[in-house]
Amino acid sequence: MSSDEINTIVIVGGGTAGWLTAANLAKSFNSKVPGNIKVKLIESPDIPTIGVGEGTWPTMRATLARLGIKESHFLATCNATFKQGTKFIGWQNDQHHNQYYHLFTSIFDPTQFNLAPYWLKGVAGQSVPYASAVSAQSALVELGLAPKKITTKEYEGIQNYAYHLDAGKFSELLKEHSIHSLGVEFISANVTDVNLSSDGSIANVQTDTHNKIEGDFFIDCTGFKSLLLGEALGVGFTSIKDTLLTDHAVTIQVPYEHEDSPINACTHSTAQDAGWIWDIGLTNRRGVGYVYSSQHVSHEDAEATLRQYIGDSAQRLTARKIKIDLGYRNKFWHKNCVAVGLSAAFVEPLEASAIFLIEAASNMIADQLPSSRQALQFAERKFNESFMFRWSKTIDFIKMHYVLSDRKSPFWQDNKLSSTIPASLKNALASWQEQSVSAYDFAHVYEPFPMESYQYVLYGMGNKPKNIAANRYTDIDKAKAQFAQVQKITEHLIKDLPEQRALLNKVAQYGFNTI
Amino acid sequence: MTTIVPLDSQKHQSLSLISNAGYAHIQQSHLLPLTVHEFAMAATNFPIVFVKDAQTGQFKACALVGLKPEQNLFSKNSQWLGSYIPEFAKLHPFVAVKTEANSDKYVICIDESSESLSQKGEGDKLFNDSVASEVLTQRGNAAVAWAQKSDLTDAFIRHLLEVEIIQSQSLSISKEDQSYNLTGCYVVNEAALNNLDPQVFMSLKDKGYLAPIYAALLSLNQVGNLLKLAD
Repeated sequence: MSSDEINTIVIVGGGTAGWLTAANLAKSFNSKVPGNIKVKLIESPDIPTIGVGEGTWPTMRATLARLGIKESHFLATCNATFKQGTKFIGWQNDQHHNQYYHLFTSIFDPTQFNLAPYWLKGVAGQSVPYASAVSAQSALVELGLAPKKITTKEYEGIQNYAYHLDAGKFSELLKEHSIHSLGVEFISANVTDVNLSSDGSIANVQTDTHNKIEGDFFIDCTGFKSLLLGEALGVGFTSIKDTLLTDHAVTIQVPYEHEDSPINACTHSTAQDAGWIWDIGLTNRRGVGYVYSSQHVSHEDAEATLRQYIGDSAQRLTARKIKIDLGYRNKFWHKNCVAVGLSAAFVEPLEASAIFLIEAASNMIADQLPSSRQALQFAERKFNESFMFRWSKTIDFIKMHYVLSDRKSPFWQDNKLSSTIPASLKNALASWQEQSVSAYDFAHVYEPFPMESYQYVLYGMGNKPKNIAANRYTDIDKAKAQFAQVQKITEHLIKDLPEQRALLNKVAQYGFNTI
Repeated sequence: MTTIVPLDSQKHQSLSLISNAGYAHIQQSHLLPLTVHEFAMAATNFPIVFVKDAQTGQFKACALVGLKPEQNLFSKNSQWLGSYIPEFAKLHPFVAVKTEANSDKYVICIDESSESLSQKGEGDKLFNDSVASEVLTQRGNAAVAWAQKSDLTDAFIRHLLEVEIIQSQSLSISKEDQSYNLTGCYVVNEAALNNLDPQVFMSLKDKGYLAPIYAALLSLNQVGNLLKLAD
């Protein structure tokens, strides 16, 4: 065995980032078998974890299935519910009752036959919202229906879905599973020092109760602190506060009025004067929070706005204020250390990208971690390129939601200032004024948001190309047939699918089958 | 429309049971529940399949008696065309329901809408002065016995699921110009059974599960029997 080999991975920090990464790597390397790559996780018994958002992407289903966690067990232990997209309320303008959906399912694959230009031409009918024209899901979500039935096997959906979950409980579940089923070694200690080798890589970490922990490769999951990558290795931080203007969130946990109150089937995101409010339904409570810019509203007024949104029941509930530093590390991977989670980057939770990017990062580490330390430089370059692309695309996509709005308050007007908009987004939006968004805009395999997501947001916000020539997109009959098919499927599913709460109660009682 | 209600010696005092009422109640069922104890006999007549209960998602063992929903090829003009009648078909209009989920106490219920019940005194009375008649006692006991065997069947199915030898299979059946496609059916998979770890296989033997497993496997050849009846 040469000393050049990578045999031991040390993850510093627990939380969703730490435990999801630990589980994913230990599963990939089959770490429970002695002699295989060892995964150790050091978690402080003193530092509380931050619950990064409570929304996932549909990718989480494949992740959990691969880790060998039963869906019914996950749902029960994390108070989790099915998320079928996001309802954006009041984002278009200041008038009441404007809303649109960003959904997970389209009935037809738009990269095969793109219905959007036909919708733009009015083939689906003049007043049909884009989401209702191409997907059954907005009708289902409006009725609070689940994406599947009790007879559907675990992790499979009749409609595509992700989850809303209690992030604290999710970490606990992953921790338990990592330690007992996947062979992760858990060390409960505080890291007091990070020791570097002569080549500038990390040699070991000093802890208060377990001496030095040696490792060949280190993963920084220490949150905003970025103890390894930021503090020890000195990798700088690029703030994006000039692009995304929100810098605080105030949150309140709201119990349901009754134990059988309906549960929202998607995230609600409601625009406010200085930001937006998320509203996420778990089985036992709602999690709501106002993400705002402290330049545009006082902390007191922000909390009052959130309480007003909740209504009378907010009176006895306590609010928690969180400062958020939006931005990213100039490198995510440096020598034998990679940062995953908040230690790498954070953009606001508008499109629930935080947990998704943890999944993506741990997948790429599992795939690309070289066998020898000499090859680390190549993996480092690939990883940094890949994630710089993914983060910048995520920033663009989130910024787009603001740029397309006609809301008039200073926060929204400042968001439209040219100096705040990345050039890449300006270019894309300019081109989509001339030609509708197409598969050619998404050539990268690891594009974080697919073409459908852009279509839902652009057309939901009312941003249409200036003109679609009559002599283009001439397969009207095929488009008509597909729009009709969407309506037919919608009608069928409305009758076929159970309510979200009813299904979750059944899952708790009987569980999903694995076949 | 079936209306299953607990049997009540006051409310149902005047009801009587017509014993040769036929099979109208399962005329439109292409799946009939089976208990594991019946597999050997059932296998000589019908394919034995596993299907998910629409209300609970839990698997039930069933005799496949039709080639499409609402078709029962075995029931014709009050006659049963097979050599074996599933016990479930003979329980009607009685059913034993557990008083609580994990209890071993049952309450006898009846389907009030059943054509085999009479208000006019035809057949055998259910009660003699509020006391259960001999016929009712007998039929009630049969319903409880079936419910208990059904519990053992559930345990049997759970074990088969655990060792992963049940698999989804859409049954595509075609003969000349007729073709049928039944979805939602699960069957014992022979390859999965043969590939079981020897220890796991022996555990099936120890539990007495091998005979019903092979019965279910062989029963799939009875699809031909269904096609013959469909002609």
